[in-house]
Amino acid sequence: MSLKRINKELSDLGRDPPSSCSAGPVGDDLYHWQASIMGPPDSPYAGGVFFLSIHFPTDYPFKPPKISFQTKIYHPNINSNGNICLDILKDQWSPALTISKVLLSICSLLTDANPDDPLVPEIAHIYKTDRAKYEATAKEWTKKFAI
Amino acid sequence: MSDYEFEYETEDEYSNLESEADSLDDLDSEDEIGDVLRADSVHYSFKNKQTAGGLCTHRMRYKPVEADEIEAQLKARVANVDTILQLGADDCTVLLLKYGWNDQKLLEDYTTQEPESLRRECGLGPESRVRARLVRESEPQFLCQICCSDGPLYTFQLSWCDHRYCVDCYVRYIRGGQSALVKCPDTSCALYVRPGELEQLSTFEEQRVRQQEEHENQLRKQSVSGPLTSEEIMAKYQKPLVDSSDEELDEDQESDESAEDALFNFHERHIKQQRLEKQNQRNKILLRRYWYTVVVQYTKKHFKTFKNCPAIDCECFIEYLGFDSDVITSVEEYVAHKYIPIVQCSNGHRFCYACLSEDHAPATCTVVQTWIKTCADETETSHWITANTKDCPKCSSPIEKNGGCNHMTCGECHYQFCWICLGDWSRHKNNYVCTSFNDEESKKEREKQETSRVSLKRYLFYFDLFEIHRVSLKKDTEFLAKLEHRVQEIQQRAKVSWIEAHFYRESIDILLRCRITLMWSYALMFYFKSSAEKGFLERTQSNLSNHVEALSKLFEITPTEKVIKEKEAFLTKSNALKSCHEKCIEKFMESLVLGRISFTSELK
Repeated sequence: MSLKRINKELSDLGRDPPSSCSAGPVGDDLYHWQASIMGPPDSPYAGGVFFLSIHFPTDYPFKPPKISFQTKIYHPNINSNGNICLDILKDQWSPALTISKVLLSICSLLTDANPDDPLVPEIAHIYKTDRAKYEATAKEWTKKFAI
Repeated sequence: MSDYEFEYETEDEYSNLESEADSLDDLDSEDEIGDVLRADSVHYSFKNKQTAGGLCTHRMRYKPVEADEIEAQLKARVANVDTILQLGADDCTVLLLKYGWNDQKLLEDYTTQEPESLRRECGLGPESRVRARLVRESEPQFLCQICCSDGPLYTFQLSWCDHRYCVDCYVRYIRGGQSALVKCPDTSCALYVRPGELEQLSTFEEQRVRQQEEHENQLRKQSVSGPLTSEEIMAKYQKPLVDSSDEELDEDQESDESAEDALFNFHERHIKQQRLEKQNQRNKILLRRYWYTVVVQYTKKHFKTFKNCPAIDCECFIEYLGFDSDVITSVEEYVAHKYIPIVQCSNGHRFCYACLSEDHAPATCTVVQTWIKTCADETETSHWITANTKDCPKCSSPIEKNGGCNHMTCGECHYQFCWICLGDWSRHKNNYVCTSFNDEESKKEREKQETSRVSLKRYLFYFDLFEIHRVSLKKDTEFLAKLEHRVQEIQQRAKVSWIEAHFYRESIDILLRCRITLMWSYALMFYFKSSAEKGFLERTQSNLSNHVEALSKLFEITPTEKVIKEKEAFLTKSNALKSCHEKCIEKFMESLVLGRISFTSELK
């Protein structure tokens, strides 16, 4: 059942790819994908390309996919292991969500971070108190790791 | 407070009970009124320091309740709200769930706020009506957005949205939800699944499962009645020849037993079966599962009034009803007075209402917690320490001598001493043969060391006693597991009714309870300072221990005929044990509650 759904998502992505994102299986294993996100232009991540790995659980879509950043990124909701703190990847997941919708949500997380529910409190603190410093560091990291 | 108001409104018996209980207070009646029970089945009464003289009992009143009863109460509450709001039970259920069963706040908000926006906020559609035929067959070009199967499929949707998904996916989605409030799977849709809507899905699902089962049964029957292949025929005829006759006998016995079961142990079997059926149904039927989730959520929220039985797989609840006391008003106070609120659920599990661990009378909750921690920290380590180390005479840190001479230097405080006499090394004048054993000062050191280890020895002494009973308890519980078979045997051999063979079961029950009491009384003793009162309690304790051993000995009798012959002995011994147990608990509680005993510093 999950294979049918994953195949459908793959063909939908091919037919109507979302702007600034792409995704597809790594090898023969349809349960393991790689995705890429372009840094949104109105964010300090502009110009960078960020790679993510996607693992589908066997009971997908009833359980959320496991998504993590493979490219290092300076962001209050993404830690050094690439784990993402995003509600729809946890308790707010719904089987009606798709990978393309999730990727778009991650894009908007890059534009608008959520410092009130941080995964990395230090970055969240800088984000709140010294926005310029945060943006400078994020730009620097993007230059260093994502271009 | 709203809880109480509701209880009095819907169940008048409570308020009656209250007044009845009040009038009975002075009499110290042991009656159990209706199905309201008192914590501590032993009802002790004595003078309390805080009530100016006069006999006064302090008992916690409680009632074992099952999920169904709470469900009925909650449904009554929904109906209550519905009579005012006139929205129908479905909407009222969702609203109450959203408001955490705070009906007053809900009614207030509903009258002050604009109903439309309030409904929207609470995930309700524009109308209360539940549309008919929410489950229907789809057109062939339909594609379920969750599993991506294409039509025609049976689909389900909520009354006021267009988000249709196939029945399988919807059911699986709802089953996966943790809360009773489940939203439409579409993330842009805020509607909640209401009980009336769920009912349609649940009924459809149930019918389908039944049809499937019937279909499978038919298939099975067909395959059975179909012509046998030659191998099957061979197998059929060969089996009795190949298998030993023993197995056949066994089979016979089994069928005999199952026939016997119907008459015998009827009561227990009946309860167990009912419970299993209930659980099964709950899991199978979505709507039942929904209400069970509602109940669990409700009891978790009102954890002061309801406690879920902590026994594994037990789905019973205990409802707290207050105290038979004008001094004590809350469980916290009750525990602070060193009482132990032991309650028993409908399935017979006994546990402490305050700390939710198994029956631990007469030890108080604090003692139990401290004891368990001590056991975890000390036992293994302390055994090794006593055997292999000595404490530094100056800073008391334990030191292991792993070779070398007797000239020791403490790693902590760098104090130099002799390993043999524990005296200051300077007095040895670098003589490596200790000669100063009788030296006054080193003698003092050794004595000091002795006392520091006394506490440890004391602990180990009580720990051993505790452990002995814990192990016996485990063995007896294993024995209990095999008991049903044994009681059957007794009943068969003696050709007596189930009720007459029941003495065996009752005896083991009381034995187990006494073992628990003994076990915890040893843990409790460890924390008592020695005094005349302690000596008195120790005598009570050993008296109980003797009775336990006496009854326990009877269980060594294995030949069934002999067991039946000893029925009288079983009865007298278990009765003696029972009254001894009651007295023992009573005495312990008296000493504890009246503060006649003081605790050692080990109890923090």
